[in-house]
Amino acid sequence: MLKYISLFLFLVGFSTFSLAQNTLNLNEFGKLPILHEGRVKPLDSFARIEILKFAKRDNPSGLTHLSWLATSLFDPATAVTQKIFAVDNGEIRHILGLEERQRPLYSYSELVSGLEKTSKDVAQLIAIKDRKFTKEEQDLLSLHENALAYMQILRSFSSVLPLDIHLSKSWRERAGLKENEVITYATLKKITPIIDQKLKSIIKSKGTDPARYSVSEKEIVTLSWQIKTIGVGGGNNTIFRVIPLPKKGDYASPWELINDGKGSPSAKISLQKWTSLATALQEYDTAKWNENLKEIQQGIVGGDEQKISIEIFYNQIAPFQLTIIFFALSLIFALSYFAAQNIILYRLSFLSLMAGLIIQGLGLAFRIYVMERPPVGTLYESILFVGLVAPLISLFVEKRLKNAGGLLCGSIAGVMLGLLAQSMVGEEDNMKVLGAVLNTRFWLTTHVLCITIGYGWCLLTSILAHLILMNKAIGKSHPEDQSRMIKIMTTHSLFSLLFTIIGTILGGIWADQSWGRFWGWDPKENGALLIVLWLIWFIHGKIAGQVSNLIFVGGMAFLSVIVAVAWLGVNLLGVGLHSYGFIEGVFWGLGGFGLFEFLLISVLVGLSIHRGKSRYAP
Amino acid sequence: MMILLVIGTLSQKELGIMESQSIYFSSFFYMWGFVPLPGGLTLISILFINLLAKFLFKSEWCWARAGTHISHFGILILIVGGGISYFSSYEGYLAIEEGRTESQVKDYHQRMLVIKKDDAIVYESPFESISEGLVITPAHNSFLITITKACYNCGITKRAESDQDGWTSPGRFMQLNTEKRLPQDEENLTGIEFSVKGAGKNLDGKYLTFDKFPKPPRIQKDNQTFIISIERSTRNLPFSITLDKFKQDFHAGTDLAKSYQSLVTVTEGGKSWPALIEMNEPYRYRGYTFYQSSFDLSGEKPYTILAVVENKGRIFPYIATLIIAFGLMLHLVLRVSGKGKENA
Amino acid sequence: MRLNIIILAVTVLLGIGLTLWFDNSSGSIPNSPLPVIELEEVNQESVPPFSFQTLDGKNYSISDFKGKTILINFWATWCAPCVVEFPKLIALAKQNPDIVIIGLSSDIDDAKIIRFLDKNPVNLPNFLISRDQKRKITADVFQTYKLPETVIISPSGKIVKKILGDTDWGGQEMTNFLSSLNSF
Repeated sequence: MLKYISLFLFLVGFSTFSLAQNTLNLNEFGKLPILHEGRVKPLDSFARIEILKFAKRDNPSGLTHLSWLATSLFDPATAVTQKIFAVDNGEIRHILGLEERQRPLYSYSELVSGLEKTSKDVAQLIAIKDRKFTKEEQDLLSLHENALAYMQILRSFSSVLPLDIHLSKSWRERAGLKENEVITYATLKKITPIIDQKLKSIIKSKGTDPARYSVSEKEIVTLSWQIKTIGVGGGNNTIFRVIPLPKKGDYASPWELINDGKGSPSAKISLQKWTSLATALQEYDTAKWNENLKEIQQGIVGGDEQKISIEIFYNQIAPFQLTIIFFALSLIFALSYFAAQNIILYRLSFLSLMAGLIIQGLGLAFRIYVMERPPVGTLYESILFVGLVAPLISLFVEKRLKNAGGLLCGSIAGVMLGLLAQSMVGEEDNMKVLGAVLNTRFWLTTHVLCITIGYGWCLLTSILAHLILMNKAIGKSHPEDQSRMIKIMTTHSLFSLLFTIIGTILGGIWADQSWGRFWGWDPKENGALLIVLWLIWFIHGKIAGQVSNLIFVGGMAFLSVIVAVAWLGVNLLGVGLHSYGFIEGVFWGLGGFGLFEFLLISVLVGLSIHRGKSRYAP
Repeated sequence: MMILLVIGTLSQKELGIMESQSIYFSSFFYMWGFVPLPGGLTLISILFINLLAKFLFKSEWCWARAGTHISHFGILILIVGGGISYFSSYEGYLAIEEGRTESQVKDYHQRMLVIKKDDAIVYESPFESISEGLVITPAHNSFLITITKACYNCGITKRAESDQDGWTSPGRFMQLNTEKRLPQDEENLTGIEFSVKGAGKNLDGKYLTFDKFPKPPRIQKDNQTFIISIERSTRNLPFSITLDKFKQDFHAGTDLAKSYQSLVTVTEGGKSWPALIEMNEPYRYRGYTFYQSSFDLSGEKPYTILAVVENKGRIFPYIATLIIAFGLMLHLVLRVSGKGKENA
Repeated sequence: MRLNIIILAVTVLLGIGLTLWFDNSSGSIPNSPLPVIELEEVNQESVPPFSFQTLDGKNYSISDFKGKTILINFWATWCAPCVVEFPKLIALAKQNPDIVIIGLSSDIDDAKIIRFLDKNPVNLPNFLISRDQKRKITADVFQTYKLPETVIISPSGKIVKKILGDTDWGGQEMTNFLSSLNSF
């Protein structure tokens, strides 16, 4: 493998590429479409995701994601020296023989020898099925995977980038090359049959010992080997699909044009423009770069420029990180209002919450527009959606309470859900296309939306219940205020029940429509049913008088754990494909959360009872 | 009920859905350690009786309670529907190769020992009734079949040389051993070993066969061919389905499927018409519903696998949902507008 | 109480009634409109202009054949599947005198082609054989690197289909497809 790398570097040529990318228009570059993981997205998104995968942080070594991508594609020789690979695990660093430095970022060329050393171990690991990997093994595996993926990006244009090969005049003529024209793999592929034929006759007449060959014969052998090596590197290179194909929305990668017969006259022209773009970068020719960018854009027929611009905007403002800030502000203002009772603080809290809500809503709207489906297809998305629902409902609560209690609940919900969502972002594209089973807009809109609204409502009811408990435990509020809050909370618990029950049954109906079984007792269904039963149990208890107000509020407060278990916990049971770290974390997180809530609620209830008793004590 | 849910759900990891369903949810009781706890059926029955009694005897209609009465009634209907479904529904599957026609629905789980004489079934028995030592006389013929081994899930090992006498190929080299049942029922390989006597010197001997065995044992006697095989129990449809084409659409440039479709022709009594069965869009006819369940592209021609469900109670969940939703919303509206003060 | 019994009974009977009604109505109407052969949204490009010289020295340009269905077949004598395909193309040309087949060979010299044609003679006015010198047309214009490949061009000059490898040239599907192009 090391030999291959050096050949590759040698062949592609060394060009100095200055990193003054502020004059090369990278923004326009980011707008070009690429077909990746089943959907057409801007290069901006692609670059962000890929560099995050390798470097695990934004802007490693001062590189922006787009300048990194451009260098990797068009100037691979420089790219392999850029320090973009994160190796956070000390053990792995040791195994790979990497030097210790302040920030554990390494370039591809620094990693290469270590990767080669460990490739046999990795192959063995992969061969074992159903094995639970240790953290070290997992990290090593993913590093190898990432290195491979990076290789693919590096080689995307190797079929058309200039090669540093010497061709004698006669060969140039055979390949139809003019005197100073650059040699590319594509050119060489044209004369492959001639080379193969000549090679055959050489071996026939002189055997396979190269020492016996003449200079020109050696040239032929070298050429043949060079062509084969590059060809092998380009085999199955389908990651950079940017060349538009006749079918709308379909794109091919440069290598696919050669290997899979996807070429055509128009594809050829498109590829040429990309090649010019590459040389513009290498020569640092801004005019040429911009001109070719424009031409490539024009060559894309039927592309959705609007969607791409919106997606880039979404990437840039990162709305769901922004909203956490606003919700947090709202929370701080609400708490200050309780302390200082200053109306301005109240208004600020309200405004921050509204701002958070609007941005959250906008973020979701962008997602709907870009993905062309309701934004509830994955667990991450459902968290985002609940993060809109819960604060929204808190506004209704506030309308009745009028004392910033509602704002408090809403902002707590917003912050917690926002942080939860952040922790689940993961390293992949979070705007994915859905597989056949989920690929149904109708049911996504009805069942999934309904039940996520239910979750959101339950969460808000739970937070409100916590608030009531705290008030009771501290003893600061009047009994009339308390009973008013309990009444409001009860109304909201009923709404929660409505949405959860309907959502659950709709889920059953969806199952019935799709695979003939209304209720299958599987974890997801059972989880939803659990919430319904919990709500019903307590509501009935209260109505029948078997359960005191206090216990009712406690039960509603514990709803947060029930929802968490039903929503997130059930995913733990059936899953075997996610990374093991994720499962461990969620399991302990849920357990910890459940325990914490249980203790908190018990303490608060206990305090309230104590307070209640002491009020009547003589 | 909630405890049941939690234990039942957790058990699914170990046991698989079907087994856990039968132990916890479809049963009347189950053991937790050595404490008998009520199972799903018991609880639902109690709930049903409870609700029914309440509805019939105690539910007076007044504005304050209207919403709740309606919701409870809705749940009652849901359980009634559930009951009808539980007792009357049938599920199976149809595996059709492109270009072929099928009209027999195969059961997912029920294995049968089937003996055919010249393609007509002369003996059929559920696998559970088969045990070691059972003697069968197919039709009125003079030869006997004695079951020497029956395993719901069989493992296959090489037969020891000392044991090979009297065995016909491939039983000569293969041996079936009883193994533990697997949680995924589909993975269980059901098989039997048996001996034949009285069919003539060339045919007498020891045989074996198992589920989906490509060449089940044949006994040819007196110009009649008997085939002994393990199959899934079947049910005949009053019509037949022909698979014209199976299509799979992928998200561009990936191998993640976007949709699965089967273009079929339904034939009944001389009339034929086309139909489309797609993931999330089943085809309903004569009380049977056909779902696009799965497919098999490993052979020369694609196979589509359609899940077939016949469920007389299927409409009740829909009616029940409407009723429950209406009831809850009515209750909320009344409460919010002040009429339901008693429930504060 | 009586009212409630009636409500219960009515609802259950309604459910059963509806179920029976659905079960017995014979639905000879398909459940959803069937997709006719899908016309994928395809941007069809025009065939780029190029010229070539047949083995007998005549010069042609692709535009000479406008108004006819053209099959450009990229082949070579050293390509085994091309050799297998060749007789099928001859048969196709014979059966369809109104289509034009241009066989562009990637061979290095004429001699090999001529030897091949001696064994597989093509004496048809609508099947032209040319050697694509330095693979200029094959690779540079059409980006074809794997042989055999056939590009089908409609009478109006649009590239309508690309076939990778050998195919059933004499089959019903192909015949139907070619005749449908006449209306383009």
